[in-house]
Amino acid sequence: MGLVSWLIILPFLTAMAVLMVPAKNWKAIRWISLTGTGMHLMLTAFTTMKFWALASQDIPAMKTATMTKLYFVERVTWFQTLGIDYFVGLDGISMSMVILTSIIIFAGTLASWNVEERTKEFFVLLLTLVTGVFGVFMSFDLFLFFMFYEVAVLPMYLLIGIWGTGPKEYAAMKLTLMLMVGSALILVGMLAVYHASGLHTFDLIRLATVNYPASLQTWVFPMFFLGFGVLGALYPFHTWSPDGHASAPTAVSMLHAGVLMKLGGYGALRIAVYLLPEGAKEWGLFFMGLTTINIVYGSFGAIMQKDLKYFTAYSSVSHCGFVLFGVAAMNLMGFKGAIIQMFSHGIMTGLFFALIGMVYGRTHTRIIPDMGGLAKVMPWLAVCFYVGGMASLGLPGFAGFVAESHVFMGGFFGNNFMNPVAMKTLTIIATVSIVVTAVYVLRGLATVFQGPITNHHFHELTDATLTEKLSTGLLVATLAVVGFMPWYFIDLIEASIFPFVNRLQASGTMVAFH
Amino acid sequence: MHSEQSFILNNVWLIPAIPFLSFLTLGLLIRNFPKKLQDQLSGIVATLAVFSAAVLAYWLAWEYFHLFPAGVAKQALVPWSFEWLRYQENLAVNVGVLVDPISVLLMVVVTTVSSLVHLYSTGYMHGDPGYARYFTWLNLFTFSMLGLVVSPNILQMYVCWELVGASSFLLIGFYFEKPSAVSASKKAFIVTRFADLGFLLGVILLGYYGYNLFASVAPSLHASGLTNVQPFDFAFLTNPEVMNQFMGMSDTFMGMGVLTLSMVLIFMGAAGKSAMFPLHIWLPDAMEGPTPVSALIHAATMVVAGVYLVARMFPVFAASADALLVVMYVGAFTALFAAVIGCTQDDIKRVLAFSTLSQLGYMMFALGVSSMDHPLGYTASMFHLFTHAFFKALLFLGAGALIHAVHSNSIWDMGGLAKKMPVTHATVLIATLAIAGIYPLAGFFSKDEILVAALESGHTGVFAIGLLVAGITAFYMFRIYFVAFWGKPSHHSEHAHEAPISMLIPLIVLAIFTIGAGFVPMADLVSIGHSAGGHHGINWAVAGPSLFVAAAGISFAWFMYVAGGKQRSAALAGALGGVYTTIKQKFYFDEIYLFITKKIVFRFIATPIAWFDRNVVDGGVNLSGWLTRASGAALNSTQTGQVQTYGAWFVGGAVTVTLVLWIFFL
Amino acid sequence: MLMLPELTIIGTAFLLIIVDLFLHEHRKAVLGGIAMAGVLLALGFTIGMMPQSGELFGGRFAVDSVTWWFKLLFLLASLITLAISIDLLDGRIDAKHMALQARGEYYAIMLFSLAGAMYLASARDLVTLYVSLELATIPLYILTAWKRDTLSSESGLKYVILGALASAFLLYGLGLMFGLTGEMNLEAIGRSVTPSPTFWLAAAMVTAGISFKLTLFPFHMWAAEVYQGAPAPVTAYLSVASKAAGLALMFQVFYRMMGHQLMAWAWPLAILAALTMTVGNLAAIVQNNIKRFMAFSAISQAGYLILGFLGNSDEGIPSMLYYMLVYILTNLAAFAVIVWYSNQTGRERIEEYRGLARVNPLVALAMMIALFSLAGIPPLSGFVGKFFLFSIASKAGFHWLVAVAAVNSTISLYYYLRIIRQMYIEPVGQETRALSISPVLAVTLAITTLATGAIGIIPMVYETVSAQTISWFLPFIH
Repeated sequence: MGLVSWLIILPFLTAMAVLMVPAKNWKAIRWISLTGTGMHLMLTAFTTMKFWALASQDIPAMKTATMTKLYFVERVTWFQTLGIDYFVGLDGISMSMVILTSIIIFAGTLASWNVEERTKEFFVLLLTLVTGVFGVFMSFDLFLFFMFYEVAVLPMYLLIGIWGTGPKEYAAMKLTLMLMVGSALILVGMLAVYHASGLHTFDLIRLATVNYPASLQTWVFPMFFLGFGVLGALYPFHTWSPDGHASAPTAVSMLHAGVLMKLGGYGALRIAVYLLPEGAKEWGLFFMGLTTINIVYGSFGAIMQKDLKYFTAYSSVSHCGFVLFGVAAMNLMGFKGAIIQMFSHGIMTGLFFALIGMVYGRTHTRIIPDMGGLAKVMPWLAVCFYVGGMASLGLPGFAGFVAESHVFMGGFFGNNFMNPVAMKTLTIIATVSIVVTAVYVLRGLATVFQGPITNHHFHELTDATLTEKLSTGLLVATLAVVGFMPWYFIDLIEASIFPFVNRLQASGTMVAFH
Repeated sequence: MHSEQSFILNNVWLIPAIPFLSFLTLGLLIRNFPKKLQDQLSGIVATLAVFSAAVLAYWLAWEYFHLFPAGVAKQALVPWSFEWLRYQENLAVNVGVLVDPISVLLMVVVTTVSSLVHLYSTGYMHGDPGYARYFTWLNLFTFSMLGLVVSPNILQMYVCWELVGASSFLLIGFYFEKPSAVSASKKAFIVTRFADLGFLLGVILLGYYGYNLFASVAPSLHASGLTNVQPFDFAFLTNPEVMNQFMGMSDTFMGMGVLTLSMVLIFMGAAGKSAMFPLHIWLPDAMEGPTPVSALIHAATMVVAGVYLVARMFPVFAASADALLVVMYVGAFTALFAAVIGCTQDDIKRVLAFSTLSQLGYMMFALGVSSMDHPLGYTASMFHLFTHAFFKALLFLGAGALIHAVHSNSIWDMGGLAKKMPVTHATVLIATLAIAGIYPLAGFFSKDEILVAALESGHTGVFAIGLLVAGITAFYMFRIYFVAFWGKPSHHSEHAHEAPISMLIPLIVLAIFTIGAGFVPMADLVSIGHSAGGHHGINWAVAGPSLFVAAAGISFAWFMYVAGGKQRSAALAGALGGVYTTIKQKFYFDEIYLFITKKIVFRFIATPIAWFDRNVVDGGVNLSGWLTRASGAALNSTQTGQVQTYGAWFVGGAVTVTLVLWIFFL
Repeated sequence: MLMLPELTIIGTAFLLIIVDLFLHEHRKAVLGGIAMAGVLLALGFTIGMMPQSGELFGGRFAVDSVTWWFKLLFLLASLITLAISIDLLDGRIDAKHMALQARGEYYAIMLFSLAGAMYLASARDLVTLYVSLELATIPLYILTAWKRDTLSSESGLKYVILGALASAFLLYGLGLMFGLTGEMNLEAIGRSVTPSPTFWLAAAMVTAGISFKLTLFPFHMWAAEVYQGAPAPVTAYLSVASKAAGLALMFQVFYRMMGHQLMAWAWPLAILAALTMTVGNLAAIVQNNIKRFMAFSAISQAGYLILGFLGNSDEGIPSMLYYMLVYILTNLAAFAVIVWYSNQTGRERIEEYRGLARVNPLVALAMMIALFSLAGIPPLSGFVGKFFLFSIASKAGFHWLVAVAAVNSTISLYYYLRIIRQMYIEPVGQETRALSISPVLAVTLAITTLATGAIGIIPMVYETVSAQTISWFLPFIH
């Protein structure tokens, strides 16, 4: 079994290990999960080294490639009669997403250190979910992809339903059903493409060598994009996310906003755009419009939120807008920006939700006006929160800036098959969000952390514990590293993005800049 | 030109790097030490770091200006750079250091003031709970500012631009338990952020068009020795051929050509940072920060970044005359506007803040009036930037000493401090004379040069404003001087005593600079465009009037506040009535902005959106769920439990199927 | 020889009746063993002889690959059903009022029905077809009314009446077919029949009859009451075996008798499928009694099932057989839990499952897996089966139908999650305590659940079905 399979299976094995432990000694369970995720993090680091060495070499070679180049491929025939394979591998995009997921789940395990109710089930579900996520990011067979996709979505129901707060059943059900409707659309598209290709295979790479009839692309592309868009919080299908995040327990919010929402953007790029370039050209502007709404609407929506989690959820809507916006911009910078934004937003929201959980654990409130002056008693958390905030408003030096500047450039530079004036206009509208973001971030954080301490109980509160410092520190460090040394990250992903652009080029009109 | 022989020219990156390293050391390492050790170390480490940077900066200046002595055309060197961020082919950001006259000049200014402020702060902030945090952020700021100064391309400029903004935000809100400080920091950040939106768009615009014509001009650029140049580089943007191409572009937006539009947008950023009208509102509030911070960031260095940016892009501005006109008018208006308000403020730091605004106005319109053919204003602006940094920093630090002594910002709580604080008094007097433009202090020369430039450029109106503002400046500066030092002691100022030595040394050093800086032959060092010579000596035709108005201003201040005492000024205020209050209320700009944000943006945009999302969009989702359930219930009601019903359904079904089949196949 | 499985079953049935006479009441526990042994034996024969083909009685009784698969399905269904019935009939239950009497007859009758279903699969002419169908159906009427309380008897009666109606339609349709062609042999009819108003009338009649057994809309109405009223194991048997029989019947009619018209059927069948799955799902949302609930879930499953007939794609047959297999295992796994729970507590309402996960975690887990598989959640076999069926529809160009089906499985997820929510999320009611589970049931549950998980992931099963049956129907359509 190869590297990639290990990356997929390791969390599942950990879950099995947890399953072996009797539920009553939950401390052991925590440690097992931590070890498992820690091992995964190390394995990921190792893989990244190897991958980086290979991929950064291929950048020049890939500049003109139209076919995604995979590394560490493993392929086993599965349902031979239908051309379904167990086909996993890594390209730059998957690699970056795997890194993201591995970091988040590790930090998430640390952040849920004090889950004492039904610990066993909690970690089993969490790890199962994350297995699904890894599977999605590394599988290149549509059937396999879809399988993992649903595995990644469904445990969410129980995780929120059991360990959540507030109207948890409602939130959990809404989240699950909306995402499932999304995947229903994807399923329709998948099968249509499979039969249209006539290749009798679900192999994504081979399917992407076909030029599908325009009529098909016209209706299948929106199916895909909307289907994934639901998970990517595409307006107006985003409303599951505020409720879902607000009700979910810390680690789940982290994983969900940090990683799961990325499946949307990932799928939209990897499957919708890559398989159906013509459809993409046709619909690009439409979805660019929707995502512009996402970006601006989400940021304005966040201003008035009282609950820290809703606050973050709306900023997520805005930031995930950037991801899909970049994808819809259909050029190198747009795609690159989308990927980087996925990564940075993943880390960022992960950080946010971790911190919210920690603050909530101390103050027992998430209502912004009820807090104040917390920076005095919990400086570490305050600093981390501000780092997150600064990253989210795109301050240079953090990953957010690299991403957003790419996305803006992508949108502004445009391409040859979408109306340039419209694209530029939308981009300019989108840029407004960087000011609005500054407004809500600073307002929110200032209320919570600065000013005099409003509630005398807060004087007893303590700063972050060691585990909390570890998990938040890891995330902050990641943000800063990518922000300060973006070239590593770009070398990691760039080679794998050319094929998407080139395939767009190859089909019909040319992409303007690459 | 060759710079191999010089160590410093090849390692300029050290200058920003040192403060950065010390920032990391403080932030990651020393931060974790026990409180006491922390405080002892942080001050020393930070100050030493900046001092060594200063030393290097002076060395660099020495080397550079010997490499290109007076008369020799000064080249812009990029001794060190690397690819930081690659957007796509031919569109990368090469982070590096740019060494040319103005960057060298700014490095000198920044490091000098910064190191003196660091030294001063060791005394001023002594015993503050956030001592270590303070120095950490001060270092962060110094690094970002130096990074900004040495940027060889506009994107690095933007990056550092944001970083100085952030560190200024942190330092203004240093006393984070003080609500006023918190809101001031928010205000500063958001207002500048808004301006930076313009900057960002300008950058994107330049990047876009620059990229589009890159391919066509690249060969000739390479031929002219500009290898490894990127569209974002100043070397590219300010290249004559590139600018011609820009001018030639047909795209227009609201009647503005590409070049003008992008320059106006970029100037928007500059105006935000340099607090030009109407984006000035954040600077007075920024005085909530510790006084040394105000001296460093909001007087000497960060606020001049805007001026520096315009100077940096000057050839491009010059190429689009309209943009330059905008710069000029905004600058001139701000100079007057701020000076007027300055006359009415009681908080000593706010008065200084408004004087900063007005001086920045000078620098701006100095740039505005000059052109590539008559670059005197350019030189003058840089010259004024140079001198202003010293005497304004001195004024702030002096004010800091006063505040330290009387624990109040209001000039009316001071008074009679001349004897109690002789050193402070002497140094502040020097600075006040300098800003009033009295010969032979630094301020005189630079201001004189600006006025000359204005006059020679033929913008007589602007010249008149400059002259008028000179008088007003003299008046309000001496107003605070007289009140604070000569006026009768208040209960606050009775027990005032001279500041500690660590605070006095910077005052004295800066005083020396203030006296000497005027004699720097700036025209030989900093100039641009064709006539490298510029203007030497003093043009008495201009200096005479300016000296006269200054004297007039001073004597009027004496007449009002020394001879007349409080009641006369009060009488005048009463006589002016509404006008006076309007001015004292800074023309109600804060209120207007508050109205726009709170009442309009929050109430009429943000709140409705939040409501819409929860009720309409989410309502739709819930509705679909409800409909599903309802139809389920409806269907269930057909399950009556009556066999005959079911039989009927069955038969009906059978008939329907038959009909359907017939319809399909007959 | 080819009839060996059927003979075994019938033999066992008679054996049971006779043994039942001579056994003391407290010894009768052995009967269940005998019944299962018989079925196992038949299963052995079947597996041994498949997929060879051949015929008896001048082609009135014939076997081929698909026939064998159907017999396999029937035997499997009956075996598991017997396994989950035994506790109830032997009275090893806590809720005494649920107990059933006369196990000897019970087993025997169930086996007769089984035999009927198996003959149905082998029937090759109209008479054999109809007789075997009745043999398969009539015992079910009796079993439905087995628990002699009002509810059970009422539902039995309804079933008889409506069943009779359905048989009448079917018989009339078959009669017309004979009239049109003068042929008794199904394939002969298929070859010689030509589209005509009468033919379509006959076709409609037959379809109605089939739809009744398959519970397709609007012929599904009986299911709700009958499923609810019948004893839990019988409900289980109805939901799988009788559906499988319906499918077998549909194969006989649609492939053998109307194979040439298959393309023409695509649209009507598509509409029928869409309506059935939608109606079943929507109605299921608001149910509270779990047996009634399962009835509607079963209806919607039938809707998915017939997607396999769309277009004449060769993958249709293996997909449907595979899905039937999956469905039998999954549904019976769920029913094992339902039977067990009503045995131990006499409870049948969904809310009454609250907190099950806390007291019997493993059972709850099995139930969850079964339900998720029914909802078509990967990587469980239910998903794979559905996926293949959807693929058929998509291949036939019915993309809208795929969308409808996919959205429907989302709706179904909603109501399956209702149960899971009761078991996992809702707090434990104070009266809830850990319930004992008998070894037989435990083993059955374990096997079915594991199978539910396994046959989706392990490709062998589908590959085998497909390899054996993929070209089966070619002679009928050309």
